[in-house]
Amino acid sequence: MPTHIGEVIESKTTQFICQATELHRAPDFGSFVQVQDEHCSIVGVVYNTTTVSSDPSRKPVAYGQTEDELRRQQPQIFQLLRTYFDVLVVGYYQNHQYCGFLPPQPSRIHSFVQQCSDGQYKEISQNINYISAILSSGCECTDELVAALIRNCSRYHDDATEYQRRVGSELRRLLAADYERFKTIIRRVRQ
Amino acid sequence: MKGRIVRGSISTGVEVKLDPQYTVEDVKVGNFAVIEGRKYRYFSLVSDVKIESTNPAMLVDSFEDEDELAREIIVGDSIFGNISLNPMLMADKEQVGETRAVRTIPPHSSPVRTATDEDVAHVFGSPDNKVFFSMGTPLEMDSPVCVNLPKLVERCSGIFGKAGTGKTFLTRLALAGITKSQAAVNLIFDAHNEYGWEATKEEDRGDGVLQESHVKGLKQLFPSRVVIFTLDPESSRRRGAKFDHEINLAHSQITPEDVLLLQSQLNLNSTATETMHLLSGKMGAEHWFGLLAEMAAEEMKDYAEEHGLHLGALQALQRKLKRVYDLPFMKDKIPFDAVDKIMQYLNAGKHVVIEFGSTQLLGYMMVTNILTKRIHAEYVRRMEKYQATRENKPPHLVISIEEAHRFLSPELARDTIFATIAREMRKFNVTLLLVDQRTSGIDSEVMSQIGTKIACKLDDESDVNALLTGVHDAKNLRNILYSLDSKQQALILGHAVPMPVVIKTRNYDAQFYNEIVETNYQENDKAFNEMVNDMYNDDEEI
Ligand SMILES: Nc1ncnc2c1ncn2[C@@H]1O[C@H](COP(=O)(O)OP(=O)(O)O)[C@@H](O)[C@H]1O
Ligand SMILES: [Mg+2]
Repeated sequence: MPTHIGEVIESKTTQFICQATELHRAPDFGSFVQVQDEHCSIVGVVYNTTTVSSDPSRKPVAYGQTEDELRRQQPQIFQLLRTYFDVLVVGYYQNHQYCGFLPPQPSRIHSFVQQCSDGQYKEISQNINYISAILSSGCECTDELVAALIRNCSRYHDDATEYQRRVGSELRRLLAADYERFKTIIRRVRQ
Repeated sequence: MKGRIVRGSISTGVEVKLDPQYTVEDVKVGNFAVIEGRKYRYFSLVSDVKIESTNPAMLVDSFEDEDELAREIIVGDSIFGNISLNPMLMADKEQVGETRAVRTIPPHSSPVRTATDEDVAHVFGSPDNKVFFSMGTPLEMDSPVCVNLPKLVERCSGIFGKAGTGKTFLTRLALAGITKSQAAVNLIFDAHNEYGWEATKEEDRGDGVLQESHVKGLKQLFPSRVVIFTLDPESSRRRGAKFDHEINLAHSQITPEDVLLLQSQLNLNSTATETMHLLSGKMGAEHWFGLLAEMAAEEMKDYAEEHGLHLGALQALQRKLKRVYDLPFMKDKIPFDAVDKIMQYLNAGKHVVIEFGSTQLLGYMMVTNILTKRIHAEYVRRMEKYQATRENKPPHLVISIEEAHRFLSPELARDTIFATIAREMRKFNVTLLLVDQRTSGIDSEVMSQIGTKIACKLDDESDVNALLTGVHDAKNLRNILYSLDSKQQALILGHAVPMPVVIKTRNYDAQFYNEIVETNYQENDKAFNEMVNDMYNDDEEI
């Protein structure tokens, strides 16, 4: 079983927030993660990562030194720092079957979170419902997120071009009323 | 071409979204397309090709290099070829049977495809040189498009198009078809010596230099069935063209009406018209022309005084009629009446070509008019007799005239024999084949009587309008007409074809000669074999 990279600390049906197991070791923007669960592992996409002090009264300040120097001279300040990442739910596994829609229950607090395998990437992205889930989520930088996901996912498909066209068509359908936005996203998919 | 129906109505036709792998360039106006409905198969012509999109913003996008993916996604699917079709015929999909006029349209998203050879044969029949005669092929296809010859001759038909578009060649084809099939007997007024014996054909060798070659006339293709009369034996001899008889007209055959047809050529005013009628009344219809033409100055003065006529008017008339009098084939006396002889041939099922040699328009018009009038009168007489006795029905006659608008202009049309024939339709078993480059010069009433129209390219809007007056679906056909190539392409519509169709005209060449003559040999062989068999059988019986 692959090791977990985070733990759920806040949860609702459409999103959850995790604390990364190690400082600065959150999964990439636009990558798929899943909440470990025997019956129903919830799948989501990482859309935001934050690193802040865990003690609200002790905020980081600028020292004018490199990270290496700081780690040597003041290791305690790194003890206070935490990395969090936000995940948008796009589907879940039930009986090893991927469903591209919201799970009946949100993930439980303190569940462990792990990165999705290559096989899962292929399986999840085969179902292009994730596009509409992201576009309608209202979370920050949806356009960047969609583009990043398409870029990531197309690597897992034998015919990447064909995959991009397929997802692109879905995107065009969803953004029928906003052609400029469609193009803004598509430009970020393939340079 | 492949696509799917996206919308449509009976009145405006249906629209097709092209499948993404095809572009508008794969479809051309006039192409023959088939729609597979659920119950019926629909046959239609492409009447318009458009670029459409689901979003107007896409249309103005120029798709820069960095938008390659966007272009791949959008073009073909969101920006797509939209084809307008007007379904004209439908047929049951289950039974391969009769096609009929459309009374409904195919359901949404029915697949559309280019017609196949079977489709063309289904709609237009397979050539048999009896009923179905191949006139060409649909654009970009090789299967023959046939006209129904009995239907073609049943009503008047017309071959139109501006100069050099292939009217004469189409007419040759049609005449050869009629002759071959015996659907009718032909009487051809061959103004430019193109149908009887050999004619020249100009062809671009490919480097802009015109090269002359010869094409065969009807007489060469059907030597035993075609008779050539000429008005200008000198010209025939010069051209090395064979002819069977010479035609002359006698002064006694000219009536004031015949001269009136030449009103504009002779510049006759109303006084001249009146004077002619007066003279013919006083001198007799058979004598007035000869007498007036040969009247000396003194004589004329006396005659005018005696009969209270205006001398100046008489003199002017004489002067003007001199051009008619001077026509080389005008004779005081003639050895035989051409009409009798022509009628004999026609009755025997022979086809008659009347060549004019170097005769000018004036002579052409006069002879054509006079002969047609008399032959028509003869037909009326014989048909009436036939109706009484039910015996000796004269064969169906098709009279072909070039420069048809000269005889059927709106000013003249009501009175000329040709308008009469056009109006009568097939009552007396005579119909016309008009060949002309100016449809707008033909009386609209006559145009509306034309059953089958074969149209090559027409540029002039008034000509296109004239051609399409009274035609159903004129709007769509107009696009097709304008899109025709300027050579060897034609739109056929009307009585002789189940639906309008654009063809690349069949080549009139050695291959055609063989095809049309060859079957003849076969027929002969068959007849010969039958004869031999009969003899053999007879022997056995003894
Ligand atoms: N069916 C055809 N077969 C062969 N050549 C053709 C055919 N139709 C047209 N052409 C070519 O086009 C030229 C013009 O055709 P023509 O019938 O004389 O035109 P029009 O009578 O309309 O002035 C001919 O000289 C010939 O080279
Ligand atoms: Mg011609």
